[in-house]
Amino acid sequence: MADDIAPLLEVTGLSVAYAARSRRERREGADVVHGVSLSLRHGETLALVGESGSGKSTIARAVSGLLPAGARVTGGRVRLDGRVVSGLSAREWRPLRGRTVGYVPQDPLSSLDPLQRVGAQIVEAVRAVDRRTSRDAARRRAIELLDRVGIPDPEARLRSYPHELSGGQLQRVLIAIAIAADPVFLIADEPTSALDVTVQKRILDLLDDLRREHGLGVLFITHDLALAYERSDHVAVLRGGVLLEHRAVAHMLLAPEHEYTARLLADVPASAPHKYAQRGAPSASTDETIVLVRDVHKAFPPRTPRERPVVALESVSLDVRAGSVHAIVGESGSGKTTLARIVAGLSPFSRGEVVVRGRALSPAGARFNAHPEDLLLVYQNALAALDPRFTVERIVAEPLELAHAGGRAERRRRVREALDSVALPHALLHRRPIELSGGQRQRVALARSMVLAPRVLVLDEPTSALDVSVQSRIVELLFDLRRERELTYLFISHDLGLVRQIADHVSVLQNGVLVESAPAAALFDAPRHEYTRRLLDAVPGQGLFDGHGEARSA
Amino acid sequence: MLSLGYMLRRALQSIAVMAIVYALTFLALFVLPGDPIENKISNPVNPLPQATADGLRAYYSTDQPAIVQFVLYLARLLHGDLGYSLTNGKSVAALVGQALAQTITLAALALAFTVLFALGIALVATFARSRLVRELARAVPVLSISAPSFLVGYVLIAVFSFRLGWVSSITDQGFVSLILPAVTLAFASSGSLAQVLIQGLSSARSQPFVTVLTAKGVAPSGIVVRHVLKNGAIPSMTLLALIVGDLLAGSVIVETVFNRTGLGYFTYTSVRDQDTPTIEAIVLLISAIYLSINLVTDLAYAAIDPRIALAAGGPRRGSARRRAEVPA
Amino acid sequence: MTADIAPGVASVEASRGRLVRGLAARLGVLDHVALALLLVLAAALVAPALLTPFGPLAADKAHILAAPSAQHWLGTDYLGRDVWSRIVYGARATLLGSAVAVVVGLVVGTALGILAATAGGVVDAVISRVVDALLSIPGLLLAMVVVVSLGFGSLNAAIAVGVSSVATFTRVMRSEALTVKNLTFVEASGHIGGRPRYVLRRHILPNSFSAVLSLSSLQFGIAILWISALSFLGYGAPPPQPEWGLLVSEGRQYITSSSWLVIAPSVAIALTVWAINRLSSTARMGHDHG
Repeated sequence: MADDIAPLLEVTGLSVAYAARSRRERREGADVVHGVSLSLRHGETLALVGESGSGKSTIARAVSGLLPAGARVTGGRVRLDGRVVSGLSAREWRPLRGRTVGYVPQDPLSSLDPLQRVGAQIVEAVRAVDRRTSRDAARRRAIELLDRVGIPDPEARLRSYPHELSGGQLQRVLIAIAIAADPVFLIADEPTSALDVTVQKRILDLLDDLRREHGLGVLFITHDLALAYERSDHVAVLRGGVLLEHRAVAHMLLAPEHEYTARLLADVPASAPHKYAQRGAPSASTDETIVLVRDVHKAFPPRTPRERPVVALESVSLDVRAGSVHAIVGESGSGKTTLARIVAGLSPFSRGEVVVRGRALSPAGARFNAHPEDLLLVYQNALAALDPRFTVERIVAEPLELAHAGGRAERRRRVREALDSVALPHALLHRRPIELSGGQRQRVALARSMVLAPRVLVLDEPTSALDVSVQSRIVELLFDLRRERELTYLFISHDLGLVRQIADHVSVLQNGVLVESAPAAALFDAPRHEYTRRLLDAVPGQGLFDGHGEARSA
Repeated sequence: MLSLGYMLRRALQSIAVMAIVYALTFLALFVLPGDPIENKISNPVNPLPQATADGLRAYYSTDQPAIVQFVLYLARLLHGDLGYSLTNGKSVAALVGQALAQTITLAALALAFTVLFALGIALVATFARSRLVRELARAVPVLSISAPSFLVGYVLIAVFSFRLGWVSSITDQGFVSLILPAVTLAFASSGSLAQVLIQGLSSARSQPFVTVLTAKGVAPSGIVVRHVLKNGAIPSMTLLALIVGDLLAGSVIVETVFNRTGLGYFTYTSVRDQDTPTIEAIVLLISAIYLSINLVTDLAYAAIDPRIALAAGGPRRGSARRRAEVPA
Repeated sequence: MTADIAPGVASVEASRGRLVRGLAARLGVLDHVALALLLVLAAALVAPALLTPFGPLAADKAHILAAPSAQHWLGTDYLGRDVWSRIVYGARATLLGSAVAVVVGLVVGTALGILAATAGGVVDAVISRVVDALLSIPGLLLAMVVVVSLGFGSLNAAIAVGVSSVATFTRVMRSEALTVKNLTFVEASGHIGGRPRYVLRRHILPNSFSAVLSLSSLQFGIAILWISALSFLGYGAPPPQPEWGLLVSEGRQYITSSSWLVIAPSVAIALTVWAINRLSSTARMGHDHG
């Protein structure tokens, strides 16, 4: 590849450190980024990929002069559009803002001032780079920008407050702000990680269009290798603040240079849809219906007398076969978590019938769970689901105590067995949840559920808060448990890639309505409902598998 | 937007709370062992004339059971009759009105100082360049909520009246004489306000929208003035009623220290003389002031923060959204 | 009054071990000063004779209204009593009074708060409205009302201050318990078979108490201020007790000539309250960030 023009962004040996907060940090140094070198040309996208703590966001902040107070560049050089920008003061950065660098943040919901109308905030962006722009001209420009980023009825939207817009619309507004002054370089810091997959697709399409239209260089920060593959020309893989590789996408996929990259690739669910095919439970999917849901309705009461009740579920019916993995997929607001909570007896429902192992649940809900050995729910956020004051040992022993199962010695043994079954070392017995890693916490939550040997586990996005490699280990664990104990899983997820890997049967929810329910193979090969097709289309990284085969990422 | 029904409900709620205040105070003050009027007659220092005492006895129906007295007083209260002082037989309404008139300027000035001090401290504590200065500013609120107001008052008197002779500690020089007591009151009440402001400002400053504003190219001063201040000050609005209440209650000490007459001094003597109708009236007055300010701040909240309008139908801000179950 | 109490979730997430370590790492110079002050106070409580050769009531007729000197560190009062000794001996009355006040507020307020949070319905509504009513009266004024009702005196003043803080404790306990009640781990405990009573005892209450405890330390400082305000106004301890607020009040007449009579006990109050507030705010920060 011949570099006949100077790159837009050139980072050489960049190191960033945060101010030491303790004596230990001072001694050991608090570098979060170590000697990273990158380059990006006009009109191209460079993806910075890494798991949490890899330093990817810090690099993005460093090259855009947005490092938080306390962080500083300790080494290296950043050249942006022909100018060395590392070491610039906040005042020196200002003329570059908006005009040279645009910034698209991670969390659209809190990235606009909640007290100001959207229009005022766009106008502010226009006028910040050029004071001479009249208010009227700035307003016209704001309408034009909103129109460009695909917001319908832009004139009316100018008067909206941020809380009146959806996450996707907010992100469009933020993109409008970022391109307000025609920058040459755009930083997108996990721009879609807070958004639904179909919205994510549309937002990233918009960014791609803008890049082509204006010849923008885009630095795209993501934890999702599949997205990086789909949306960028070059990928830089980071771990622990160190750059592992920085290459063209196609090259990296064919032969990952670093073992970590190869593993990361293998852990992306979309890269290996049949990964667990041979791991299925021996007696998978009998004909016995272990959980039956018939015609369930659920409405949330209105907040004010004038509002109408919010319908969360409308006439949902499904059968979960004993021994199967039944996935429920949908986007936020689809009612999938509500359904999971109803099945688990944690949420009342308006009408319909829910039967678990032949026992009908009361629509009004129970004051406590009298049959935890039938079915248990595993929460999405394990940290929140564990009492912060309890040690791991007490947490896992609690169900046994409540069931008055066995003597003290018996309980001790069963707690340790449960830890073994989720592959947690006994050394953690006396730790508290806050002292565990995310993966460990979810294992503890699983162990707590497993001590009672329930027949059915309702898994409410058990891995969505975890890094992809940790997610992959937890999923493997779930498969091992299922094989050993012939469990049934009701698996709630928004991640169709993951669902494709693990599910026997998939039900798709949209706005509280079950639009399609079919065996996994049939649903993925020939989706019948238009919404299912749209969801499948939006799953990133399908190219990782399609056409190239699994071998590519192995 | 705010519905009329919401405002009406809030107003009714405040009136209900007032009724409870009245009942509780009555319970505490009037169901006393002993006869306060008898005590006044036998008071060696300033005995009540027998005629006045008889008049008061008849007026308050002290021979009737407590519940009858309660209903009687309540009926009079609803007609705007606050009763007569046990110490001199004068109308309580007139006495309290007179005392409040003398204190209202002091309280207003003290409130202005409170906001000024607290804002100044909070701005320095949040935005000062030097870390040392920020830390020092952060230590001030703890100091001010810890110092008893008589200490501040007497130190100010010792310095400005005795040492420097700027203000007389005895004669009333009008507005000038208000300054030291107002500063004393404000010093105490600025502490909690400053703490909440500091918290609000630093949390507003670390919101993601500030990063976006910086990235847009807005000047740091513009970010602070147009965005951080407003967002950061909102949580402290709830303190306003509390502060005004504390200023009025604090005037008991401050007016004693500075030898002023007013609501505080009047409270002091009423408590000293166990003049129960007067105390009851003072409590009702201050509680009414507190509740009205609270009502106004609640409404102002909704006007300033567009997100509140959502919950305006609910009884309290945000409670409607904090349901246990929220659709996914 | 309670505006800066840490909200439920933050306090819940900190474990004890972290708290201690967080504290140790965060102790600055001022915290050490505060600790030292509290040690001196503890000594004044337990063995005042160690800190001063004079008794609190011993009058030195030769030195009336003497200025601070090597012999009388903080001077003497109008009867020739040593001011430093009166402050040292007065610590007991003031601090015990405040302890009584906090215990009254803590016990009654917490009980009412738990009742309101668990009973719900009418009980909750009644308790909450009464709390609203009590909170609409400034604490110092409410304490004065109660002290009128109970009669003047040092114990009554302490109880009055305690009563006037009940509403604050009730509100914090109630809202904390309700916050914790809605946390996921509480629901999870019921989900694995915990009966409501068990969940309340094992999960909700223990996790609600940390906020109430941090309120207690704040209220202890406030109680010292209010009790000394009451005795300053003459509603509390009767003379010749060496109570701090009373010392200030007794010195008022001599403010022009012997300002130490007023300033010294006032400073004692301020330093004590400051030390308590300083340490409790450091503890809270360790809680939030550590």
